[in-house]
Amino acid sequence: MKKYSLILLFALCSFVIVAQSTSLFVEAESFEHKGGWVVDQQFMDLMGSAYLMAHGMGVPVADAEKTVTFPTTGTYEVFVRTFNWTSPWYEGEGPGQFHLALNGEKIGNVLGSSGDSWYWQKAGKVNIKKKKNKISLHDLTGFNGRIDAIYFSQNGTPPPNEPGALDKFRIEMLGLPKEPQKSGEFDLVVIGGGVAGTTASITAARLGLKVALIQDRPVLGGNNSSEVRVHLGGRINVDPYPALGDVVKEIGPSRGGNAQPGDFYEDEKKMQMVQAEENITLFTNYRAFAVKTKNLHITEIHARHIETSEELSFKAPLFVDCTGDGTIGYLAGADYAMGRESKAEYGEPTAPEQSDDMTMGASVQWYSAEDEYSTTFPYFQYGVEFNDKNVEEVTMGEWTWETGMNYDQINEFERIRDYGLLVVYSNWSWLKNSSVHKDKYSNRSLDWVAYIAGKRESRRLLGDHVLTEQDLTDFVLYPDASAPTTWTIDLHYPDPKNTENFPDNEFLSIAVHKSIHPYPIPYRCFYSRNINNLFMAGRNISVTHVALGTVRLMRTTGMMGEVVGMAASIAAKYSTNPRGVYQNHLEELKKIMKEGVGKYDVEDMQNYNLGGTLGPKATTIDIPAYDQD
Amino acid sequence: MDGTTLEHIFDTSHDSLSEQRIIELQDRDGLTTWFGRYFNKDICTTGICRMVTLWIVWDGSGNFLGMQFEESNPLTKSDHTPFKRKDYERLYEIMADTASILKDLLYEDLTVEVPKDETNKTHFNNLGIYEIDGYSSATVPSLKEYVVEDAVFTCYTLWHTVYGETKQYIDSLLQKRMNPTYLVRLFNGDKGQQILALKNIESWDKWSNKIESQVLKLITSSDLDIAEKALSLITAKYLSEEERQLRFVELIKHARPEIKYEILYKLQTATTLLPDTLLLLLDLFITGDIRQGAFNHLLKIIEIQATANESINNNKIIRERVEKLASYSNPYTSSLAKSFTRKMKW
Repeated sequence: MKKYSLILLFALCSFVIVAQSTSLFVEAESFEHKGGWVVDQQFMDLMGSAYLMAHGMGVPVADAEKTVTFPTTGTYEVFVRTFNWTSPWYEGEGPGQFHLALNGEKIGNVLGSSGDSWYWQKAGKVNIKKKKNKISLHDLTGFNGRIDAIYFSQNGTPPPNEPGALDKFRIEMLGLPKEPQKSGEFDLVVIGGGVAGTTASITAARLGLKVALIQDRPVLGGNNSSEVRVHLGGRINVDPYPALGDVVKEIGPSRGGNAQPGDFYEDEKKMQMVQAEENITLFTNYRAFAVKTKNLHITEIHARHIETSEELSFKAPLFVDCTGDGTIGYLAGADYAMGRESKAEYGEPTAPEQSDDMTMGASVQWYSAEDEYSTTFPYFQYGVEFNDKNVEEVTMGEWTWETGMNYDQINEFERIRDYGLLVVYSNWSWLKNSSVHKDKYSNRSLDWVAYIAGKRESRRLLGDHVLTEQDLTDFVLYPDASAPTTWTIDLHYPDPKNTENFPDNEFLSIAVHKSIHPYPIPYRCFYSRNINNLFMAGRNISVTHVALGTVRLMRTTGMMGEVVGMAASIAAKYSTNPRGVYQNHLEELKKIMKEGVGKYDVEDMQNYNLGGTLGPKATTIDIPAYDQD
Repeated sequence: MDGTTLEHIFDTSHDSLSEQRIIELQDRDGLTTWFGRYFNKDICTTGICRMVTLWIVWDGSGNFLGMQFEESNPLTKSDHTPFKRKDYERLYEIMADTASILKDLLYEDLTVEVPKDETNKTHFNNLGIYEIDGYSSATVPSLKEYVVEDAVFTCYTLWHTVYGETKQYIDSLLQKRMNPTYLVRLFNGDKGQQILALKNIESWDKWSNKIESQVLKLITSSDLDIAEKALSLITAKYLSEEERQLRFVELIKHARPEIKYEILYKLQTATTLLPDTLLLLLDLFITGDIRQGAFNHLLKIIEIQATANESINNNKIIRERVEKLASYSNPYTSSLAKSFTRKMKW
């Protein structure tokens, strides 16, 4: 067996060595001039790497260009990794069409309109007369054609397509180091630069920790960034710890509204608040993809740059998973839940009789703008049929445009996001081209459509306490009560009218609210119960699906981040772990929560989208004492 | 009742069951205190109707003020139990909500039939979120938060009565009175009357000095609704004159925090701002009248002006002022200012 393994390894290495001398591998996201193409990293874990996408909302985007050096002159077969994104719903050629060009001359076939999953499409042949050349991507439609990588090969064999083999192939072909580079020495590594990760980093930094903040996008804020455009919700500065929320106040946008112009989300404010902290080293455009553990401790995590593929390793005694998907926890083997628990599991009145995989969905928000003149939109119908009875006669779509509740929000997320795009374009096409009221829309054009989908729910890492509906409705106070959740238990379901028109393919939702008193979440919901040095903050904390309905609002997740940053500083001080903070240093955590870590003199503009509430439960909240026994 | 009582005959009303007159009480200055009408309304729930009698009262600006029911004929729910005090309180909240979800709904949107389809797990019946009301089909769950429990039809009927033809008649009565003299009287009235005046004011180019000074004064009102309404009258064209720009920016010193921000957002839409205006803004930041949370908005104003106008981009004093902030001891301010000067290539 060992002999055969050695032969196979030799064969692969030989292939790679030969491949390197007679081929050229180019990652699309490494194009130095991206034109109008965008980098999409959301599905890197599923299909191997970030990719470029022509997100033109029906208008072809400007070319992406890159200068490359071929190993030798001669004839090369050209392969492009792509697929037809509408294939789950439509059998014919898809709309995401583009060409590859060499020195301005088109190479062979139209790309991106075939294949029901990522594959190496044969693009054509080129005759290379000099080593240095310019390659470009020419979008034909503006409808989300996508490209992962390009491979020029003299022996005519495409690269492997299976993720593991392709990963190794990439590393070899790009000459990347086999081991990630070290990123530096840190006390705390925070993975995920949404609101929770940003506040966790700032808080820990202000309390003296050296923090690495890893974010897989160029901007901070996650769902509250200009890329997704969901506004903050919930209340800050409420009992029992009114100083919690001071950091949220500093970074929070001053205006509310979903799907508003990008300026509303003040990306620069979050970025500069982080960069103003000397103790934070910010790594934008890096996505964590691997975790090393030893004795139920995370020892390091690896992250890859979404454009250059450079890999870094991060070591620290403590880690915070603010990825939203609980990615770090999952990779480390942390206990987690996903989907709806049954009524019997926790006794929750709102839970379904049987457990199932349903989660809340993801939103692809959008809006249109009025022009001075009439505009057109291409006819777009790829498997989802609209008519005057089922069309949504709207000029924008915000949180109610929600989809994927019955699909896997991690492993099928590209499909979910793509369906979100499909329905926006299909609906708009009907309004502009076929509706009896099309005159109303004649001067309107799509102005913004998200391509980073706003996710609400996926994995929930499990801690020493799992927050349940009854904790909230019965106001069960624990000694480690901390950041308060103030929103209603707000759970989403497919809109019944939308189900009638699009059964099993809903894209609109309704919200069902249950008001609660502002409730302080137990700190034990913020660390993993079985990975000893892992904190979490955000929507992936230790709650049931029902309880997630209230805690997921971003002012609340922001306060979770503050608590985790505080707890991390205590853990570092006493060389203990998150559980150790609960068991031995709870009073110190309470003291810091009382003081807060606000630093700047800012007005409190966090008075929008506060949500319904039953109001304070009592004038003073008596938190029970912690009994070590 | 102190003041003068007037009676307006509403003989064009489509509601023949109710009184065909609207009563108005005016104070000594001729400003309205309230309007009222006595109603007989049919409230129907899936085939069963019941007559309700009540007074509905609107304030001097035509906003909902209250309701009075006969003690012997209280409101009841779909299960015929009488409204409790908390139900009435909730009802009044709903009636006061001009943007209620009930506004755009049709009668048939209020409830939903619940057919069985056990094969489809996302069918709403199988999600376990719908409960059948005792005597009707289910209230649409997304409405439950917006109505009194088990009284969706009552809420719907009364809301549309409050905001229906009677209110339109009252609004038209008030409209006919609008002239500059009446407007000034309204400015000295209560909150509702001030807002009514602001809603009925002509565009800024027709303002007298008296009206202009009233509007600017109201921008610094401690009442957010009034301040926002007054501010909404300031347009980009109004700001094209230098003197007006400086007077407008000075309001920041006395405005509520939210209005300070709104003033900055408004300045972002101005076509041309003069150097002195931008320098005044920077001064207000240094004095703390504009705080750090708004610094990025202030820089945005400068960016817009500098991008559109070469002379602003090259203005030495403005550049120096911003570059000085890049060396501030406050790390956020300096970080943001540095990033800004890099972006502008100064």
